[in-house]
Amino acid sequence: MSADKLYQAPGDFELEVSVFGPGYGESVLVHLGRNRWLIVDSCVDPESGDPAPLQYLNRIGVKPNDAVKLVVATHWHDDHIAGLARIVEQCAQAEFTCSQALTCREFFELAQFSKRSITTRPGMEQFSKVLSILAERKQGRLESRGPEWASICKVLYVERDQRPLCEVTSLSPSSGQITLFLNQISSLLPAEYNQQRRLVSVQPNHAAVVLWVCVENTRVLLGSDLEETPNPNTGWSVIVESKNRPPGKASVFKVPHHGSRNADQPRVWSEMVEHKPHAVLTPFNLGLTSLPTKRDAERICRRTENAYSTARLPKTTKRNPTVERTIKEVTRKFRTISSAMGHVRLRKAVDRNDSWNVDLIGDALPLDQLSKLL
Amino acid sequence: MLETAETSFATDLTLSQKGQFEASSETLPSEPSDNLAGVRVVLAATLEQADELKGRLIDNNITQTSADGNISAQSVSLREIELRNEAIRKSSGTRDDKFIMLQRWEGTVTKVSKDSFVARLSDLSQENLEEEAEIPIEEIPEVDLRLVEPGAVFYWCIGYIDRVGGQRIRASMIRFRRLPTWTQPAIKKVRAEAQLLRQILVG
Repeated sequence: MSADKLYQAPGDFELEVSVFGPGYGESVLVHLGRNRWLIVDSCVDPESGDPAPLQYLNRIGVKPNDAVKLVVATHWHDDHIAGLARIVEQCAQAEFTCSQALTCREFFELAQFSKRSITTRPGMEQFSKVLSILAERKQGRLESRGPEWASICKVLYVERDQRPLCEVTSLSPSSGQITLFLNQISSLLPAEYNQQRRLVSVQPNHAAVVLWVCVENTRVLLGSDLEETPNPNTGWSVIVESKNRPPGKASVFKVPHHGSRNADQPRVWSEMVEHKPHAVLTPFNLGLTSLPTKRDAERICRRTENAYSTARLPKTTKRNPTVERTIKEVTRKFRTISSAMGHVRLRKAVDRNDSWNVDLIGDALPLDQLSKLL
Repeated sequence: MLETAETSFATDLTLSQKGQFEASSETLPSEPSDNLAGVRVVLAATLEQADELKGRLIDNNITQTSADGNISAQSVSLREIELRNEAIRKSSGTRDDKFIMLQRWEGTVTKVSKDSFVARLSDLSQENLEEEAEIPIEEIPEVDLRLVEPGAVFYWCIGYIDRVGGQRIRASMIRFRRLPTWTQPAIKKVRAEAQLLRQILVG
């Protein structure tokens, strides 16, 4: 497809789901119809340094300031919030939503500790910037409501007057998940005489916001990084079991937690998504075990032939031979985390009975091809 | 350990034979002087600060031992340190070993096990290049071992040391930052800010 056609904005009745992922990082952009956009999380294009959703919107001629209606930060981990502050700044008319778990005193303190720490990395620092921006707006504009706090089966955005009708609902966190999160985060707060170390993301992720997007009769399930747990009051089980969740099945599924086994709940596939949905995942190249593993990729490919990954394996950076030799001698393992940006784009007309059009842009590729490379 | 001004950095300082402190030139890595015979003092973290702050001057309160052994505290700027260093070098007529840097990363420890740690690395010469390594604990100088914890920050340099005597040594040096500690007043301040912010946004 030519660049001109590739970078045309979607039509008024065209639902678009764009998933961006450079091998470390994830962001989802959804067109809800009539130039209304939803941004979920943020990652940065390694080449340009720009937040991927903003870069794409600019490319297709969409002005984020007016067009983006809702920005959701599903959780606070580094790989989901790189560049988030710039998105919130530029999308000045958008409502900002994050997990209700983050309303706790402990999280606000953690954000402020990160802001004051001399060693802060872009992760939590982004969140503290976002909170400051929102506080300034709230103090400056009486009509500013934000932020919204997502919890199980809460409607975050709705359009009931003008077609295409749409609704965005959060399916998590549950109260059980919030409790688990509180316990986890309390241990991260520094005490007197502690060194100002950097914050390291903790696993598993209990507070992530899962989203259900419904535009006319088409549904999309965005799984964030939510992992399954043995406790039926947390993880995916509580979502599947929930009597209040929106009806229907999704035809697009953003696979949670980079396709990992820990986030897999077979009942999600059987009860919440259609047979052979379009499934998209973003790889995660950190922790010396990449996700998805070969087994993960094969498991997902058995469930649907329409599975895609936003990125390939990262390419090793070539360096001075002396440096490379020394790296080999000093380290037990060494690898690159970031890859080139990949973008899986799905579009579908919601006023017709069309199927999804899939574009694999940049380094994106079918998951079965990635599986062969793993 | 030197106590430095409010937001900044505890610095390990090794005094030279002359009983004076000197900031090494940028060509020297951060290493305690007893690991490199003949090398004068390094003011490790201060130079790393200079890199990070990209030429901005910071004020440190630094303890100085004068030639007669008296210790006093004074405020100096980094630029003054560099100028003093240059003057000392010129007046003493000695040459230093020279370090030729080939590669430098800033690392953050993400996981520690019995005999190794995993760290995320940012290549300081290339933007947006992130890497990861598992490094054996034996690569860490003994003086830094207690600092190896999740969230700890270090610099890893690879290069050559050209000795005064003409030798060239290939070197890999990992140096952990001496991070400031949280004080009770600072913690109180953070908590107050957090409470205010939470009140505005959550109610």
